[in-house]
Amino acid sequence: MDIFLDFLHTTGFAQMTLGNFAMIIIGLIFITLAITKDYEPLLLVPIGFGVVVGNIGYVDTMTLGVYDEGSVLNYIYFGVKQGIFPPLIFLGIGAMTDFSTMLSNPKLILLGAAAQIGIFLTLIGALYLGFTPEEAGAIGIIGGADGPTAIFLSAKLAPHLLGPIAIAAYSYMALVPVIQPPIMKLLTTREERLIRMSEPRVIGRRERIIFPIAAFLIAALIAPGSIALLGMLFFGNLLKESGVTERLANSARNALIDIVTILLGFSVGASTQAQTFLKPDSLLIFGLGALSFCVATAGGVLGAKFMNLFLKQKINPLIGAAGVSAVPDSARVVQMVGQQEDPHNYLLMHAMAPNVAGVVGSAIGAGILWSVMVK
Amino acid sequence: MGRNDVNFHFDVQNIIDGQGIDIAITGMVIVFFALSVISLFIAALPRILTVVAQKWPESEDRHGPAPSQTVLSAAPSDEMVAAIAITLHRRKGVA
Repeated sequence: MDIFLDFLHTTGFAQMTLGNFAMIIIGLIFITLAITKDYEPLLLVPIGFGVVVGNIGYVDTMTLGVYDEGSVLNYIYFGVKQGIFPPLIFLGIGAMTDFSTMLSNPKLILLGAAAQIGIFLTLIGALYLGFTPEEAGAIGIIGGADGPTAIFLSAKLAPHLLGPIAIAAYSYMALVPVIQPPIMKLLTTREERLIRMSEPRVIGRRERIIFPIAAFLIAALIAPGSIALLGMLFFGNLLKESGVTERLANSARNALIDIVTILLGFSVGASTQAQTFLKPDSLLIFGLGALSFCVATAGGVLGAKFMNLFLKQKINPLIGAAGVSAVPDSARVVQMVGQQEDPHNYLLMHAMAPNVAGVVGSAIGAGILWSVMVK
Repeated sequence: MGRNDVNFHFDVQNIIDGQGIDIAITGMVIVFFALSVISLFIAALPRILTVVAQKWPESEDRHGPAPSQTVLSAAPSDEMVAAIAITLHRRKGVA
């Protein structure tokens, strides 16, 4: 009987706290949103299930959780903690990204820079709330709307906040179709939303091959902190565009990125144990994350409007919203909002230019913050 | 680095102490600078390549077009098959 009672004490029912229960509900909401609403299912299903797994209670003497040295989950989480997974995801993103629209209209790259204001204004907000500069830098990067970049920088600057930052970054990325449209409509007139943009020019093979090498050299020499992320991004793109490494490019954009996404999503989800996750810090991080997304979106749209003051051939300011990265969801949102005004206005390919520029911009921003914070 | 206990202290002085404004301005300037240099390089690249191509013309691709160059897929679409079928049917009818 004693053995049975001891066993009962070790069950998840006995070890569960109200916090664990609340987190399991959150995990289930993620899974539901992914399946029923199609919100970033490739991310929210692994994260959601990871949240459920990570919040099953167990006795302290068992090494099961992501924070227990030597546990299986701890080994998987190693890739997150040491910032290994994000660059591998960037390799896959590079191997599937077509930079042609950006190459055909290089001024749109500046919209990817304008949207990064979300990172730096959130940093100021986080400092005001009492976070340390390192924590503020890690929280600010949520405004880059780039999950892997957010995880990479948090792992370097504030590993203890990695769980809430990763969950906030991916949650808001999934909510891009909800967060961005009201801001885009608020900051633009109907006439502006109706602007049609000219067809992009055809890009030659040499341009597409030279671009990833040159862009990496420029970005990495200016902000060496971005080497890991941008090195892998542009390496992946070179594999794709060289035309001689199709097998490697295929592996990077299919099998590799899928495997890493599964491991990253699951282990990040499992890192949200209620005991470490349900704190006032997390609530503030979520609040700041939402603010940073809104500011980044507004920054991109207003950046486009500012550019229009000097351009003869106006650009549709809606595409500025895609500068937040969140590839390709924010570009899709631009297309959707644009077509609400004019069903025959196809903005998707134009929005991809600031969208991929935003990825590069947020990685450079992360590199700058890392360089500045780690003296 | 970091904090285990909650100890929030909302104060503008935190921003000054953490050099928040300086970091934000420097960061934005560097991001704009880096992306502007990339943008200028991309804008200049076609002209550079035109000059290069005069000396070293771009040879035929030995490995076929890169994925982003591919316009048509190898397999015809359903619409294309239907169009071909209609054309053949009409020609047979006329003949």
